[in-house]
Amino acid sequence: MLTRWSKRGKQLEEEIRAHLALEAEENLEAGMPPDEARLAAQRKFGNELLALERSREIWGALWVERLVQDLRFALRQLRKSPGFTVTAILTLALGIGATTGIFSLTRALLLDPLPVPDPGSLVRISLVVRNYGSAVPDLPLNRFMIASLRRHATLLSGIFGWSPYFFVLKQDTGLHTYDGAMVSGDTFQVLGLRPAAGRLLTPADDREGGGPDGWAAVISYRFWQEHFGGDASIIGKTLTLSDHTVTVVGVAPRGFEGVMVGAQPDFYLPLEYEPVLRGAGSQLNQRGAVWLITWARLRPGARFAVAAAQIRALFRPVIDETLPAAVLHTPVVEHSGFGVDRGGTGWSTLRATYTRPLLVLQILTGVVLLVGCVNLAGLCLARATTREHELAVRAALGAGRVRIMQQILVESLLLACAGGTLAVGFAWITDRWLLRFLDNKEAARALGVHPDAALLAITAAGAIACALVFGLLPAWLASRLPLEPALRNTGRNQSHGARRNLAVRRMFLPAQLALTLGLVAVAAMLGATVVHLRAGALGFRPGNIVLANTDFERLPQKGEALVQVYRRMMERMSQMPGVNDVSVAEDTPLSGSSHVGAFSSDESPEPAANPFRYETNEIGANYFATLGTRMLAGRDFTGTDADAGTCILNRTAMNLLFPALPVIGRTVRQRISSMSTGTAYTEVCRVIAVVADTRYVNLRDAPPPVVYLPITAKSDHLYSLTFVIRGRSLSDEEAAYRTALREFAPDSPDTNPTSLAEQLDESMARESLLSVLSRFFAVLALLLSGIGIYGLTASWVARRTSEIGVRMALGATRGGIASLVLRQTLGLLVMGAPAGIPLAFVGGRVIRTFLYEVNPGSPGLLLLAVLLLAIAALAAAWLPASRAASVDPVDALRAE
Amino acid sequence: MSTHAKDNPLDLLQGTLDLLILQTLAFGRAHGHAIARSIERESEEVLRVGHGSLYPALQRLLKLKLIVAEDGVSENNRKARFYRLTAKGRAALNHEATKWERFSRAMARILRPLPQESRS
Repeated sequence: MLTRWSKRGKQLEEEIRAHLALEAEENLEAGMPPDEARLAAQRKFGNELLALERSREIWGALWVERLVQDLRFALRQLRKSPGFTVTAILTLALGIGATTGIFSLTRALLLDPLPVPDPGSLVRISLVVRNYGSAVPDLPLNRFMIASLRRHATLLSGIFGWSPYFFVLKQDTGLHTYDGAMVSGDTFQVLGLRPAAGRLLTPADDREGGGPDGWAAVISYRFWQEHFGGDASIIGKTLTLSDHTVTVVGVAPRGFEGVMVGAQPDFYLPLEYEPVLRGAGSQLNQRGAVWLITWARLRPGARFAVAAAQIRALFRPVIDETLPAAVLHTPVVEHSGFGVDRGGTGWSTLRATYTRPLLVLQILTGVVLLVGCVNLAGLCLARATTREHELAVRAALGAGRVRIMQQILVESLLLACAGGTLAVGFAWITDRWLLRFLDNKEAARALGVHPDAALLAITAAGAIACALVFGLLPAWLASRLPLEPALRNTGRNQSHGARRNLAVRRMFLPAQLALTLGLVAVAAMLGATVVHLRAGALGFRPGNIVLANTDFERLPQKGEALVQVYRRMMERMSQMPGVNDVSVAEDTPLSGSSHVGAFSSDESPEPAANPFRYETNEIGANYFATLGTRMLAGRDFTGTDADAGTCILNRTAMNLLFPALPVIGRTVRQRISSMSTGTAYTEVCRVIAVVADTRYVNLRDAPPPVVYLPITAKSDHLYSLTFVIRGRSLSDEEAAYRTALREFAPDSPDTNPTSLAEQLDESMARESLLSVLSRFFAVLALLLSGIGIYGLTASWVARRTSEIGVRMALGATRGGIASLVLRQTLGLLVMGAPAGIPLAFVGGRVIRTFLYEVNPGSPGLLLLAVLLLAIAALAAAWLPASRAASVDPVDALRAE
Repeated sequence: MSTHAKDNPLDLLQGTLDLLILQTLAFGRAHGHAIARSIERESEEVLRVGHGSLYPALQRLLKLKLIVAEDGVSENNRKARFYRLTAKGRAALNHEATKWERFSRAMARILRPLPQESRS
């Protein structure tokens, strides 16, 4: 192709030459002197190159030719300045990579629609409980509410409940736990899914005692492939799932991972299977229990806002119909309502946890990218200045303005492409790193990012956008160069264009410095948050403590017998080598969850405003010794039945309940009301000890008042208490736990033990994540700003070499020259920093929910940020400054 | 383009130049320079912007297969590239010429007392 064009081009050139020769001959015959004859012919012909180019255009594929030309030229240009090229590509790779890396996580968490038909018409319905001023959103519903909504909500075409559950499957290799869910019978119909094999669940399967196929189970496509090789004969076979026999009736469609973001359910069973699994603890038929995450589909044509309003208005009729009378008129219920959200992208608590941090990171990466682009624009302007002469020559030779702009843009695009390619790799690394950092299996699955077409498209879009941002301005400025002065000067002296470019760059830099200052300040605030969180007194010693959560729901022992299992296991573990203390508890510190209780005493009656302000925890003997929490007075639980009717307070609870001493032996009342059963009664306990305050639910909140109660057969969560083991090393402790588990509960799944130190880290995972990443981005921005300052200062020095020579000749010292250059940089800083401080404020406000004991406007932190920026800026200017100081006046003046 | 129209009474409409080339070639084959000369003779101002603009027009006509190019020898024994009308070109010329004639007659009627310069 190209050779044909060039042949045609050569032919045309010859033809034009012949034309000119003919014309010149005629002029000669008319009596002109030879030189003039030739010139006159050329004048008459006009722009030769233009004629050639227009002709080529007509041949059609000129733009390809031009592009190839431009690309070749751009490559040559970039090869000529490797420093610029590498800087530009790395800047882009880091900026675009970080942005797309974070964006792909954001997309996975927030934007990916469920793989079902018309996901846009799915809604999620939840309970919002407004309890004494604070609203608790996203609570589940139950089957009675769902049935009632199904009858009353006319704008819904279907509604179903979903309850995640870990099933234990009996396999040849033993018992293994699989993710799964119990779902309403019509779930798959409402979602509009078709089976990959067999059939999906129907309402006929969701009956007490099972449907036509017994207990019907739908397996995931993944499970079908991995365990049965995609063999359709599995349909109709039976499996032993959590001790009961179920029949595989079908396979869910490929790619369907349920409606909970981050979950990968392998088994779907009808809701009626729940009583079979949980026995007496079943919630299915408890009118007050809420345990079903509820989804619905809007009728075709129904508008979301209208349907949501209808559902919210149905709250009262629905609960009147479903809740037990005893709880119907409690303040909690009176102040509650339905929440309706769009459900097309699924849901999970991960969203609540990570949406804001991800958005913050997205903004931070965006700022880094912006700083990078500003930098590149500056660099490109600098290049345009050094190439001014060349560009002027090209313009003089007939290159159109658009053509010159195109040339420069091609160069930027080329850089952007190279940077974008690297960015894909960098984005992938960012994501890997982030997920490793989160160390959360659920999150890792939900956000498992693989470079796919969409990610590539985003990266490409980012690269092109950058190229336009940093390429267009220099290109436009270059195309507007006045030719004549640019042609006349030969490069070294300052020209109009150079002056103007430098002025534009000097406008950029303060903006860049301001953005960087904002980033650095944000990073400093987040860093200080982590430091403060870590520095707070815990009230316990987290070193060498293993936490082993149990899952004893399936043990034959219940009630008192189960309490005995725990006691015997604790005894067994404490005999093992390397184990010092063992205890057990309902909640462990900083797990993020807790139980609240309404307590009162003679001196401190139950407050009407917030009776549930106490935390309560059921614990075994030796709990405080194991955790290293100081006992201030009294004696510990004994771990026997003698503990019944006693309790231990922490210092805050003591102060609230008993303003006056003595405390030991006094009586505390607890009001117990069950929303599930609608019963309410009061229990009484005698205080036997007071312990020191500890951080409890999380690191942020001040120690709450806690009432510790002994573990009894009546404990609510008896089947899933957590062992707390302190010993020589984590591995010794884990080994002790596993031995005891094997001996006393061999059929129970081994829930992976964790350590208290890990739990502590996890409780501040969001803050650490933000802190580490924002620090990284701040360093990146500092680096970029440094490069920008270096570039600007270097070209300033280069342009003023002769002036510096004159100054030196007139007696300026080398130190004076260096400080002149550094003063320039400080000037930029003085312009940029004041703009950066409001940015830092705004940044601080955006992230204020993540801050702990840090004031967004803290002068110390701002000063630190300004100082860091100043150091980076001066360090960057140092090299050009010392170069300026070493200018030889004689050389500089001679070059003039 | 139209801002330069003051100096070019006949603005270089593509169609005009194309038509003039076809018209020239109707009398037989010619090389680029000869075409330029001939157009200059017939319409003094059309090519004042430069003979150069002839060549893109020739390429366009070649692409439309209204003319063909062939190598030959010029009147003063130089190698030259000659252009010749194709049958399609001749038909196009006839069609365009009638259309143009009709158009210019209509224009002449409308614009009879042509003012000196009425463009803003």
